[in-house]
Amino acid sequence: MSQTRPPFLEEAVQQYWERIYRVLFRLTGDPAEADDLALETFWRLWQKPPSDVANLGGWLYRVAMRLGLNSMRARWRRWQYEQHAGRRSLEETDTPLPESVAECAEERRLVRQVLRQLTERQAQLLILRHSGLSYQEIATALDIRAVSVGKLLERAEQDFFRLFLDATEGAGKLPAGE
Amino acid sequence: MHLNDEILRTYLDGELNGGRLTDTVQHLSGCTSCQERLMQVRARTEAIHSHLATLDPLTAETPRSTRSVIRILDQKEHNLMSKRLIWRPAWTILAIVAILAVTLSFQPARALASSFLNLFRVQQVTLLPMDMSALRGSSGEPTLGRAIAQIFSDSITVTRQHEDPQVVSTTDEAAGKAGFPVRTWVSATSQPSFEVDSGMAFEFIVDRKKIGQVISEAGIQGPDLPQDLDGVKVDVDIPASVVVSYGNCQFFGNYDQNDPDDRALMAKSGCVQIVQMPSPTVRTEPEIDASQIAVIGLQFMGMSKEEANEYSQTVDWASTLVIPVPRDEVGSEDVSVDGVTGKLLYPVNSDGEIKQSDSYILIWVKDGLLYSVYGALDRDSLLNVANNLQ
Repeated sequence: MSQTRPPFLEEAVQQYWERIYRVLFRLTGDPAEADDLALETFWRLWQKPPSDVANLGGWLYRVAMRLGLNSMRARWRRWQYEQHAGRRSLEETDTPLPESVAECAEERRLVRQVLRQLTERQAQLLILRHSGLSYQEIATALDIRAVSVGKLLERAEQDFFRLFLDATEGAGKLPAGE
Repeated sequence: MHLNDEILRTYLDGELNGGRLTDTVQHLSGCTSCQERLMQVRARTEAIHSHLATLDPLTAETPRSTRSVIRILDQKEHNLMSKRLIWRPAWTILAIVAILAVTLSFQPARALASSFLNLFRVQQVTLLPMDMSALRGSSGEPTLGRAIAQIFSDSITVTRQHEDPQVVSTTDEAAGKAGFPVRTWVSATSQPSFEVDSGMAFEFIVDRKKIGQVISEAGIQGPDLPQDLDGVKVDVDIPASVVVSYGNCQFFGNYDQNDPDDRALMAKSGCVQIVQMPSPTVRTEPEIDASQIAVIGLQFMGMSKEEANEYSQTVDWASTLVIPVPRDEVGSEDVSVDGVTGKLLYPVNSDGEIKQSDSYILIWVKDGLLYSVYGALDRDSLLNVANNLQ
């Protein structure tokens, strides 16, 4: 009569909760949304777990990425609508940050702007790799072949770097690390 | 030939192995140009890493604790289960079995006052709206189920084993296996399929001390257990039941009404199921005070002592099947069906309004048989099915 919590769920939450949240936060930039989407990811694991729980990490990242992208697309549509309606931009509506982190916030804004100019897959690749996923985990998460990850990642980095330089030069500022 | 950026990038990520790794290391050791390129790729990668690090959560943006995650998921599951308890198709049978295990097991008839054998038979159904959260503990296990398991774990003797349900193809075959005349929907446009569940029977001797212990551990301040409860022999017989299905009911066992995909499937399925089952029987030897035991059972289910006492007085425990339903989530009305009065159940929102027009369950008792109908139907169609059985 009742469906009790499956044994692997608690372990999965212990092992992956923070990582999944962080990836979603990097993708969405919104703590509340990242929290919602991460919870939804684990809820799906409970309700409709994969037949093979051996590669749970890859499965969780894949679900999280799909949820994150859908959410981003919805935000993007909302943003376009608001732009069209003459409202404030999405960046301006983000949660205000303290003075001490204003500089970080500016770079964050720039990084997001550049990520938005990449293809969705490129943005995901960079975020997942930065989040410490192995090529195999990235391949599972994005439904691509593991042998293609290096090539796609390389291409994504080149594009990111070029666009970031363009953006910072446009803003009269050099990117960090140069 | 020089190493390309992809190889260098993969090498830096530690993702090269086997022959490719050996070749790359070997080449790098003797190629200044590739070493320089490697440095450039590394610098770029590190720069990007540092840019992306600005996306990392700040202190105020760090994730909630895993304990809180588990708690939220449990709560979500609980909320869902409260709905599923009612709307899952197998619910009727499960509710009957559960409620038998919970309270009816103790409910004797009063008819044969001083005899050694008492008899309980369902003649009517009543619904008991309540807060179902009391049924479930923090671990996700049903509190009540656990308590019952504790009480009976080593005192139950199964007298008739439950067998795997059997699928048969004709009414006669189903009736033959189940042992009662099976009714079908006369105006159905598709052929029915039949599943016969064997039911089961068991007996147990009441251990008053053990029950007292479990009640006390559950934190229930119930009435003192009657002295004469100790050693009472209880026989429970859950007869065979038949589920008659029309349309495609394959997915029905896992139906989740909150999932839009499931709801779309449901609408297309044309699934209608009719459950039929003779009244379960409970006999005790010697007679025990049913209402007092019911009060304990009701408190297990989350009622206060006063509420349980009050409610207990309103029910004829000798003949009534009491089905708990989640308060605020399930509405019901008395309907005229199959020549008797039945109960129509439906999900409601917080304002008590019907939430969906295709999630009804109809329950009634006629000639000693318990019936339930549900499916992808609106109210009138469901009643129409129930009124056209033969």
